[in-house]
Order: sequence, then C-alpha cells, then structure tokens
Amino acid sequence: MAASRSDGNFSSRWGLILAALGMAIGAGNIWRFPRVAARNGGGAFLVPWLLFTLLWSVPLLMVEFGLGKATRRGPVGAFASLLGRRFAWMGAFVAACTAFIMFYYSVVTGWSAAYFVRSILDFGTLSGSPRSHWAAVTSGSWEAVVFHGLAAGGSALLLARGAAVAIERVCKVLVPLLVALLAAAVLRGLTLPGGVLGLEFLFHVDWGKLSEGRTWLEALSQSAWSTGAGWGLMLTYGAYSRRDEDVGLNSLVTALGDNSASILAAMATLPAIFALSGSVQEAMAVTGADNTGMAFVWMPRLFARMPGQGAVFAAFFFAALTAASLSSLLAMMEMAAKVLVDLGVPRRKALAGVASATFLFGLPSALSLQVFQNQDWVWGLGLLLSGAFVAFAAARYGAGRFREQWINGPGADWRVGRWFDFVVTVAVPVEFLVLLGWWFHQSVTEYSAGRWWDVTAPYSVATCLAQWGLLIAGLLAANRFLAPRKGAAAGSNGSAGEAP
Amino acid sequence: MSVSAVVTMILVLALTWGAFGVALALAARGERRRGKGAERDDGPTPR
Repeated sequence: MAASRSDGNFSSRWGLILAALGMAIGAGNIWRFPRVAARNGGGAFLVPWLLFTLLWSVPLLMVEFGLGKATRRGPVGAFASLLGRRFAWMGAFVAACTAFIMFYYSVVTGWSAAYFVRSILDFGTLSGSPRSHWAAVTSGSWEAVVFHGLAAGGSALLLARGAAVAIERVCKVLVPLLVALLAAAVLRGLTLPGGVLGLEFLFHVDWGKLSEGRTWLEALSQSAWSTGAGWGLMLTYGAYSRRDEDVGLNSLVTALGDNSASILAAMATLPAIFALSGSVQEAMAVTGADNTGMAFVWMPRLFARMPGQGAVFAAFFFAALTAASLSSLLAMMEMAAKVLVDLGVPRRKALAGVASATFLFGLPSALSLQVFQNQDWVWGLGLLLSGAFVAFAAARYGAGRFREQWINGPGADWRVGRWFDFVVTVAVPVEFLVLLGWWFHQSVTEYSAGRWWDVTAPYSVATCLAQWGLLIAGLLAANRFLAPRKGAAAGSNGSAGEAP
Repeated sequence: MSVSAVVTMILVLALTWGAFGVALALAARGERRRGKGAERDDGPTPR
C-alpha cells in the first residue's frame, strides 16, 4: 500500500526511485565520467567500473537504505540507534562530510545556473574569451555569490514544502528533463561531422590498460563518488520510505540508473568535443582538463564554433549540469535538515539554518577557486572514509544479521545473498585502504609534490588529515550531545525510530 | 567506428541501460505483487 502524502514519506516506490536517481546523478556524471572513462582505456575502463558498482556502491547503498528504513533517522541517529550512542560521532562524520561537500556543491550549482542564463542572454561574453570569463567568475565575482545564494535559498524553499514529498515532486521534473536534455545532445552530437570519433574514443578497447593499477583505482573512485554510496543520502531517503519497502532491488536500480546516466552523458559530451575540436590533440586536451576546466572553459569555447547554434547547445549543456547538480544538492540539504530535525529542531528552522550555513560556509569557495579545489579534495576523499564507516556499521552489527533483518526483511523483492557479507566486511575496508593510499601517493608524487606535509597546500596529505582530524576530534568531544535523546521524535514523518 | 568499438558499445549499453531496464521491470513486478497482496489483506475476512 502506498504511503499517504500527509505522513511525509514518499508517495510510492516510483517517487522514491526518482528521488534516489536525482540524488545519485550529479555533476560528476557529466563533467567527470566521460573524461575519466575515455582516458583510461575506454571500453576496458568500463569493466572495473561496472565491477566496483557491485563491490562498493550497491552494498553500501543497501546498508544506508536499510539503516534509514530501520531507524527512521538521519545518519547521526541511525548510527547511534544501530551501534549505540558512543558511535554517534561516526554517523556525524558521514553527515558532516556530506555537509562540507554541500557548501561548495551549492557554488557548483550556482556556476551552472549562471552559465545557463548567460548562454541565453549573453553567449558572446561566455564564448568570446572563456578562460578569462571563468577566471573573473571564480575570483570574487558578484555573479558566483548571487547564484550560490540562489541555489542554497531556492533549494531550501523547495524543501520547505515537505521532506520526501517535495524532493519527489522536484525530481519528477528534473530527472526526466536531464535525460531528455542529454538524449537531445547525443542526437545532435552524433549528427555533427566527426562526432562519431567521440564514440570511438569512448568505446575503443585498450585491454593493456587493465594491467595498470591506475585504471582500476580510477574506476573504483568514479563508482564510489558517483552513486552517492556512503554519503548518508540514501540513508535519509530510507527514513522516508515505507516500512515494507524493498531495499536490495531499489539500491540496485539506483546504482544502475546512475551508471546509465553516466554512459548517456559520455555519449552526449564526447561526440560534441571531438566534432568541435580542431584536432584530435585538442580533443585530448579537453578530456585532459579538470572537471571545471572542461565544463566552464572548454565547452563554451567549443560551442562558439557552432555558428547560430552555439548558444542553444550551451544552454542545453548548462541546463543539464544545473538539473543534475540541483537534484543532488536537494538531497544533501535534506540530509542536513533531517539531522537537525532528529535533534528536535522544527523543520522550517532546520531548513533555514541549513540554507544559511550553506551560503556562509560556501562563500569562501564561491570567492576563491583555490579554496573550492581544497574542499573538493579534502571532503571528496572524506567520502571514502564515510563509506568505510557505513560498511563498519553493518559489519559490527553483524553483516549476515543486518542483511536478513533489514535487507531481506518484509517487502524484499530481491533476496540478497552472502556475497553482501563478504563485501561489507572484507572488500570495502580493503578497497578503502588501497584507494586512500593511492590518492595520498598521488598527492605526494604529483599534486603536492614536495609540499605534501604543508596544510596550506590545496591538494596535500596534511590538509586532508588536519581537517579530518579536527572534525573527528570535535565530534568525539561532542559525542554525548550528538545522538537524539531516547523517545525524541524520529523526524518530520513523525514515526518513532526502531531500535534494531 | 571500428567493429570492436561497436561491439563494446552494444555490450556496455546492455550492461547499463539493459540491466537498468530489467531491474525496473522487476521492481514493477514487485509492486504489482504487493498491490495484489494488499487487495487480499483489505478484503472482507470470512468468519
């Protein structure tokens, strides 16, 4: 039976799935996946990428969803309910890590929206000298601040109309819109002369790349960051799900939907890049740029080469980027608000607080690209630790027990087997250690060579450890105040939490 | 496009969009089953 709209839960399974897809599909599907896939062996890269969907993303999404469904609380309350109050700090780290990402993600959403507006009203400025325009936007411009404020404030206003109900309503528009925009871009890109070269670049198979550790680590990183596993977002949506909602199949649908969107985005962007680049070398330079460089510098430059159509194509691209970012930002803001609501803060005040904090703490990233890059580095890697904490929660409770109680319980359409126990107790911890070690190695040898110990260097190991350390120390000190008191309402859906 | 790239594209699309479609179909089947169960639960109980 579908839950009624008045209780704050998702109205149906389809509403939940659309919201989960909106959460998972973000800017990374559009500006990261196509570049990383194409540069790491094309078709060969997709093998480990698909494998890690099952060895990281799906099991962690299941744990999160099961935790939320069981406890009806956000990450802090869920960890405290499942493992005891002394583990509340661990759930708080998951929530805080995502909140730190939310601060600068609002800036990304603002940039995308600003570029969308400029594509329509003032494409000449955007395409005339994209690099200097991007430099101006990211060095203290009013435009970045205003659109960042609009993204944070607008998201809070959308969420004020109800938790799951509002997210569901917005995602029913944003997700189909995003798919339609990307599908249109695929068709247009492939009909441009030379566009098919982009598909060749994406799907060529360089099997030799499979023998390189980097390919596997890039694939794992992409899967870990893209699906939203370990962010505490699926956990929050689980708290708004029906009590007899399926966990395993819905988690699988979310991860596969995210993968499908990544492939669609790659089929939309790479043909356009190859068709509009002057040479293969230039196309390689575009895919070799970083996320923001590709989206905000290279793409406007390429669109300018389409006489009469550049503004339209640019508007499509930035509309898709805005839709993808906004649907993920909504999930992050809802997660943060849910943590406060669990502590007894009224929902509207919680949303106002989250929006204000997002605007204030996102300002440094809006005003300085270096701060943005530092925060993206620190909290992007922090998500790996969050994922490990989520796996730890299930492992400590007993992976098999968790699986039988909260994944294969009432309403399960897919009975998950023992492979899940192995993944959360062995595979995820190993993947976490290897991945973190590799990224730190990259910092020492490449990103912050010679300055890895310097806390002020944007991509150093030291800045990462220092910021994580400060956060964990603060959370441990405040642990007794973090967990919702016994008997406190579990959230805006008004249902009491179950102590598993 | 080379033959190997076309074959890879078909395989990848089957493993992403195809798998996504199958998972959605299974979810729809689960919902139909759940709906039938709810109808039975809601029906008059013979005494």
